Amino acid sequence: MDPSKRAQLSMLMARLADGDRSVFDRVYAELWPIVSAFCGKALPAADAEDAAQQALLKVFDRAATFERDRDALTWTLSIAVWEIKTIRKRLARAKTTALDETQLPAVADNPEGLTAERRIVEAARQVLGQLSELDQQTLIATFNQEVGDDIAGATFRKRRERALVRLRDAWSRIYAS
Amino acid sequence: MQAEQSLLRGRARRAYEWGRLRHALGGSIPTLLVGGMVAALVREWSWPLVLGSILYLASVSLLWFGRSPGRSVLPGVVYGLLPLTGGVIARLHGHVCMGMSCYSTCMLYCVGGGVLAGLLVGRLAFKSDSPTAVFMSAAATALLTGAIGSSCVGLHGIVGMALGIGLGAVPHSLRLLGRR
Repeated sequence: MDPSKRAQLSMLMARLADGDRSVFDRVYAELWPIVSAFCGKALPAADAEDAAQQALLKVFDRAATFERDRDALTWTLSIAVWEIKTIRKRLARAKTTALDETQLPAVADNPEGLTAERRIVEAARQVLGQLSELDQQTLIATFNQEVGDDIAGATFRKRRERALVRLRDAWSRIYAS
Repeated sequence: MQAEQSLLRGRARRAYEWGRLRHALGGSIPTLLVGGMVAALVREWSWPLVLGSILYLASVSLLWFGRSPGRSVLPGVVYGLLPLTGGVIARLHGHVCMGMSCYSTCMLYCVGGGVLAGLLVGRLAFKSDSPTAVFMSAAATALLTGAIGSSCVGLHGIVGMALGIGLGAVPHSLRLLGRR
């Protein structure tokens, strides 16, 4: 922007600050392309439009506080810079949130997680196979929360404790290393 | 695109008016303080607070409107402090005694302060590019500010002060007419 246009913009802005509504349209017509282009250079197209609009609204919102001896262009662009910073921060926060979500995918969408789960189940089966028939039945009944009518509660608890101890021993023997 | 621009222009216009109003509301708070201070000083709440509120509303309207009337608010309030001070002094020391006789100073302070304020308002209007608007705005705010103080000595204090402002503005009004 050449100095004469810049000075004219400052003069128009000062008149607007003074309450001269007749220059509103001229100030708007001068500022919109400048703010829009400035935001366009600093942000992606979708966000630039939003930033330019917000910045322009803030410029007019604060127009009454514009001081006559200031440069209107610098004043306007400083408000636009602030708006750009705000939108950049928002974008950065949005990216961080998106990363957190990808860190916790559903198992079905995660092949590696699914493979690991299958390995654990396979290992459990292998360890279970090392135990006696009675221990296996006790652990399966515990898993299914079933207690046979012919077995007393205390007896079942003792069997379950012994089966769990043997399960842990077998697991340790096979996978401790 | 055209409709979107028109919409944005409308929003910008509203933002501008709201911004001005907010600025005016904040900038006029001292006028409320003037009313509050006088009320506390003379221990009379009704009139100083009512007039202070009217002055606040007038100041908000003029500052929001802007231009010459908006610019005249501050000088008007400052000039109005002269009759206000006079009115408060008259309330606190309402008479002067010389020898055996005592005189009421109420009208002297109110009219004297009013004349001084009127002279200053007239001078301000004379110097400006839009004297009528400046005179109306500055005289109204000076009158309301002065009335806060003069109300303490009754309605005649306000009338005296208003007459003083009118009298004070006469010389500059004549000069203005002569200039035309």
